[in-house]
Order: sequence, then structure tokens, then C-alpha cells
Amino acid sequence: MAYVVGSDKDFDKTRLAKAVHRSAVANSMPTGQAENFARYVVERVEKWIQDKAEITASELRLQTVATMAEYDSDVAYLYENENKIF
Amino acid sequence: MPADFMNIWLPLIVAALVQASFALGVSMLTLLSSHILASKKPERLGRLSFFYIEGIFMAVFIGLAALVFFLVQLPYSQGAHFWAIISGAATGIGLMVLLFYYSFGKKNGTRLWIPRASAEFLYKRTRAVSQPFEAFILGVASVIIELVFIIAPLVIAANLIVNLAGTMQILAIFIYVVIAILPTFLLYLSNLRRNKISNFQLWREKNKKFLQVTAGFLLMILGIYLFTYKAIGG
Amino acid sequence: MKKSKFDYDVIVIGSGAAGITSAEIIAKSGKSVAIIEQNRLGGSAPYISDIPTQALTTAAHSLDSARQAAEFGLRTQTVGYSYPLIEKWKNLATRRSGAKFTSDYFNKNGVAVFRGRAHFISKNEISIGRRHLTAEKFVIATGAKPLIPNIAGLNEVDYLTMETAMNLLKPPKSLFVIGAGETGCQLAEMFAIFGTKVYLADAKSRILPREDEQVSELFEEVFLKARGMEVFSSSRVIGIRKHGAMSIVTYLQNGVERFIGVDKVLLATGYAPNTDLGLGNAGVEFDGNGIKVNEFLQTSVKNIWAAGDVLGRFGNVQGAVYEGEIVVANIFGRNKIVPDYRAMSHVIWLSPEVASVGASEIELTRANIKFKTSVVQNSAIERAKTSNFAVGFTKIMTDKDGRILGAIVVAPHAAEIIGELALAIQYGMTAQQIASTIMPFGSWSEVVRLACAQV
Repeated sequence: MAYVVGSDKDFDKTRLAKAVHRSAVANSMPTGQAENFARYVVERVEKWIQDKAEITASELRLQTVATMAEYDSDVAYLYENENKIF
Repeated sequence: MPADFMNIWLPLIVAALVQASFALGVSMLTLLSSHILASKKPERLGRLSFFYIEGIFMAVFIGLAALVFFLVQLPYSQGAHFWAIISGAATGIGLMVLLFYYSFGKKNGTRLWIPRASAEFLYKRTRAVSQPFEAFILGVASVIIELVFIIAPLVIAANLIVNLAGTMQILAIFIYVVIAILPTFLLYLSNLRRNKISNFQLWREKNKKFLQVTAGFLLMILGIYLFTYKAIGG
Repeated sequence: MKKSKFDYDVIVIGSGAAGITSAEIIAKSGKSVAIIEQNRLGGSAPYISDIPTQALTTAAHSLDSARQAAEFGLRTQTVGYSYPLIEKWKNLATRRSGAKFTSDYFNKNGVAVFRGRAHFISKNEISIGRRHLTAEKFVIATGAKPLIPNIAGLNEVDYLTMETAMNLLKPPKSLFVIGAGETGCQLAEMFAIFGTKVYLADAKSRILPREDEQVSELFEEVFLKARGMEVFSSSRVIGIRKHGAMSIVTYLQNGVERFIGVDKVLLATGYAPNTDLGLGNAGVEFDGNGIKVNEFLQTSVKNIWAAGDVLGRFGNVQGAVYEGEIVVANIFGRNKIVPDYRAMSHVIWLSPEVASVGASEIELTRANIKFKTSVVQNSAIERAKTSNFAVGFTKIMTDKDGRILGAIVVAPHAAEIIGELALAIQYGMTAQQIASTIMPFGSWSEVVRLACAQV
């Protein structure tokens, strides 16, 4: 499992899934759809990570946003900018 | 009446519009709403948002009323010197808004002037809201935090309202507060209808320069207007 | 002596043509250098692309020549081949070419070797596995990988890429090649010679879309008439599905949907640069076409340089080697060099070979440069008659003063002939100078002299 430099722990797909799900639901996506969305995103991100031993927290975030944007750019925007609201 | 309109109501409305164009209240409601919608009880959105707006409303209303009360006691509040100080402060703060209100850089979303450590704290506090009174306090806090910018339009508004008769003062304060919190209220209504938060946030990000320039210039123009009308003309 | 704060002066990521060139030159200059390689040392050229392709196409063209040798009075009825032996020959050629690239070889030449996947953590630090290395400067030479197109159903079939096509145990009975660029055409022709029924498709309006139009027209005719291939230009593959042991390929040609059942599908849709190495962490700008560099091959980060296929420019070894040299000169030299690609030749290993150098007609037209053209068919020279091979031509483009701007040679041994034209372009020679040079009578070079004389 890839180690995330910056957060000092291994990649945690459950945590990522929760964060993605959260952003989707916060953007008024129905819960079931949000769950599928989160699962899809995490699968794609896991695939991207599989041949990497280490990644940084910021590139994990970028990759997650890029993957989300392929499916729903609005949710991707919210995920990317949640900590830039103020 | 027309004299009253030019002397009091017009600058009062402009001051309210200036306060309305400041972003912290809207930003915090955006974050609060996204947090509630993503929580296990999204149905609390309406109630908690309402109490948040109520907090802003009460803070601005009471703050403005208190200022009016204080300025009524002050013998020289309508004097040319006092107006000169207020208009100078407004112009200066308008310039500050133009320069510092939003963080520079395209990738900074709608990040504001708040120091990062304080912003982090606010972020955590907003996400931790789960009770109506917490939402209310958060609303009050958003007004207090942004006091450094909104003090100018508030003092201007208060000093204008001092010239009105008793009941008209209450009406004027109410009108000011309604205009000042209108964007936040519209966001609240939009969230109730479950419109996408991202749409509103994206709009804000795309137009932040416009909002910043509008707020800054309006404040500066208001300052110059009052200086001309009240400090020199008065 | 002051201890450096970095592990190495330079780290080179990738041990292909560009990476090896850079690393060796840097080591010779006395600097500390390390090379990082995820796969086999030596990169793709010795093992996947140039060498195995050339070994197999040599075998194919030899077979083709042998079949036609009846015209010379040879008895060719029993000419055949053994594909396992051809594979064995290819593996031998590959081993010969890549054999020297071992860790020992690099160590002896002063280059430290690290095996693994490099990933930037910051602009001066990479991780390989969990190990971190730092360097003052980096050279990214990670090359490119086959681009897998987004075609519905592709994942259901066992498709071939250039690498896997090189390692088949026998040629397929039928083959659908998606992509009629250089790689697609080379492999398509090779398999056609070995007896495969080949269907060659490209979304563009002609095959070999990057080459001169005359080259495309010539080879479309050659493929159809001499190789028994079917060529579908302006055809986009929209779906593939499995049907027993076959693959049904559905494609759109002129708005009409058609389908064909084949044994195997070969993807030759181009290459994607290998940019998935945490470039964002280092601040290096890149896009789908490759890493963005300035005219000195320096990336958006001052201490990081890039060379070779990862730039998405040429996709050939000579270009990668050249860029590897330029990068080192620019890293350590005071006066930076801008690479000059005018005289870099490009070869496609078909029969006849296609070799080009300099600017193409399209490039000259787009740049609004007035030029003169001369085209001479190979049939005009004696060699074509004595070798019974008249297919091909030579085209020379010159400016108004006769200086050679570009050239295309389509002929046997074109790769050898093009060298003189590359030299001419490099040193600003005129077509008249070439025309007045004595060429051996009966050689293929005569077509060059004739073409230069007629400009």
C-alpha cells in the first residue's frame, strides 16, 4: 500500500471514500448515487496508486479531483475547494 | 424628503450594499451547509442555517442600534471633523478591501484575508456545529470577525440614522440589516431548495474580483461623497 | 572537502537512449550521477521497439526477396519460414543489442544504478520504493508507452501492442491493425509477408498521415496490390467484442458501420509519454503530449531537464541520443545550446524503406517559405532495373538558392542513402553540389543525384 508523504501514513481507501462521499452528498447528490460515485473514484485512484510505493498528500488530492471531475465536475470542484472557501 | 434621500437614505443603502458584498458570512454559511448536508441528519439544514442567519441579523442589528445610541450621545457626531474622520476611514478601508480582501492567486478559491491559523480554527468550528445555539453564535462570530471591514459602513450608517426621527431610526436600521444580509439569506433559500452548493461557490469564485472591486470602490466613493457632502458641504 | 547536501550531482530517470547518453557523459565529466530504471536497463529500443522490429522486418523482407528471386533464375518453390526460428533470431538480435546494459556496465562507467520506479517528492528529492534520493539536478528520460485508446470492449479481448506482437509464437491468421502510422504499417507489412490477412485502419484520411502524401499513396497501393492487405482510411474503430476465439471489430467508415472478425487486434495508436512520476510535486509542467520544456530542454523547474520520447517530439533513438547530449551540455555549460533538428533523419522500415530529413512540404507551406521541388522515380535509374525493384522515388525540396531544405527517399537502403542528404542540410549545401558529386554507377544513390540535378 502506498505511503502518503505529508500525512505520514499509508493510503487509506476508506477515508478517501468517506471524503468523496461527503463532498458528493454536500453537493446534493442522492445518497445511493454518491456511494457508487465514491466507490468508482476510489477504485480508479487505487489503480493509479498500485504501482507506487510513495505519493504525496497533494498529488493524491489532485489525482482524486481529476478522477472525480471525469464523472462530476461540480463535486470535484467542491472537494478541491472545500478548504478554500474562506 | 428628496434632501433626506440624498443626505441619508442613499448613502445608507450604499453602506448596506457595501456590507452585503463582504464574503465571510456567505462563506461560512456555504461551509456550514455542506457540512450539514453531508452529515447523518441533513434535514437539520433549514433549522441550523436559520439560526446562523438569525445570529448575523441580531449581531448587525444590535451593533448598529448600539452605535446609533452611542452617536446620539456624542455632541459632535454630526460635526464636519467627525465626518471627515469617518469618510477618511471609509476611503482607507475601501483601499484595503481592494488590495487585501481576497487572497491573491488563481488557485486560492474564495480565500479571504483571514490569517490561515484563524481560518483553520473557523473551519473546524463551522464543521463542528450541531446545535441551533452553536449556529447562532457562529453567525454572531462572523460579524465580529469581519468588524475590521464592516465597521466603516456601520459607523457611516449609524451616523446617518442619528438624523432621523425615533421610529424612522428603527426602520432605517432594519432596512440596513436586511440589505446587508441579503446575499446570505439568498444562499439560505437556495440551499433549502437543495440547489448545488458548487454552483454558487463557483459563481463567487469567478466573480470575486468584481465583488472585491465593487466593495472597495463603493466604500471609497461613499467616503468621498460623505466628505464632500458632510465634511465640506455641511 | 565540502560535503554536498545532495546524494548526487545529477539523477537521470530512465535508462533509454536519452538517459544512458546523459548519464555516461555526466559520469565522464567527473560528476556524481545515478540512473534509475524501473524495467530493463537500456530502455525500450533494444527490447521492445527498434531492435526487435528491425530484426523481424529484416527476416520478413529477406523472405519477401527470396520469394521474388525466381525472376533471377533461382528456384524458390520451397522458400518458407519457421516462425519459432525467426523468434529465436529476434531474441538473439535483442540480446546482442541490449546485453551490454547491465548494472556492472554502468558502475564501471561511474554511474550508480537504482532499480525501481522513481517518484518526485519535491524538486530535489525522489523516492524509489520507500528509499529517498536527492540530487542537485535531474534529467527525466522516462520515454513513452503505447497509447491504449478508449474503445468499447477493448478490455474483453486479448489485444496486441508492439511489445506483445514481437513475442507471438506464430503469426495470426488474420490481424486488424488499429493505427496506420509508422509502427502500425511496419508491423502490418511484416505480418502480411508472413501470411497473415491484415486489415489496416486509421481514422485519418490516409495511412502514414505524418509522412508526405506521395509516400502514403505509394504504400497504400503497395499494401493493397503486393501484400494483399485491406486498407481502411477515414475509419474509426468504435467497438470490439469477443466471439469465441475471434474478435469482432466494428468500425465507422464514411458514416457507415462495418465489422470484421479477426484472430487478433493490434493497437498501434501512438505513444503516451511516461509522465506519471509525481511531476506535480516537483512543479514540473506537463500535459498529455509530454513534459513542457523551453528551447534548451529545461523544464519549468530550473534544476530539472528532460530529453527523449517523454517530450513527445520524435520517438526515435537518434533524436533521444541527440537530446541527451544537448541536455548535459546545457546543464553544465555556460552557453546554452538550442537543439537543431533540421538534419535529423527519420526512417520507416518498410519495403522499400522510407527515409526523410529536414522539412516536409507541408511544413514549408505552413511557414510560407517558397521552395522548389523535384521528384524522381526509382525506375529512372539503372539499379532499379538490375535489382528488378522499381517501386519508390526521391523528392528534394530546396529554397530559391538551391539550398536543400528537405528530402524524402523511398527506396531499398533509403536509411543509408539519407545520410548524405542529412549532411547536405547540416552544412547548408545546395542541390547543385550534390548533383555535381560523382555517385557510383548502379547504386541507389544515383536517384538522389538525379533528383538534385532536376531541381
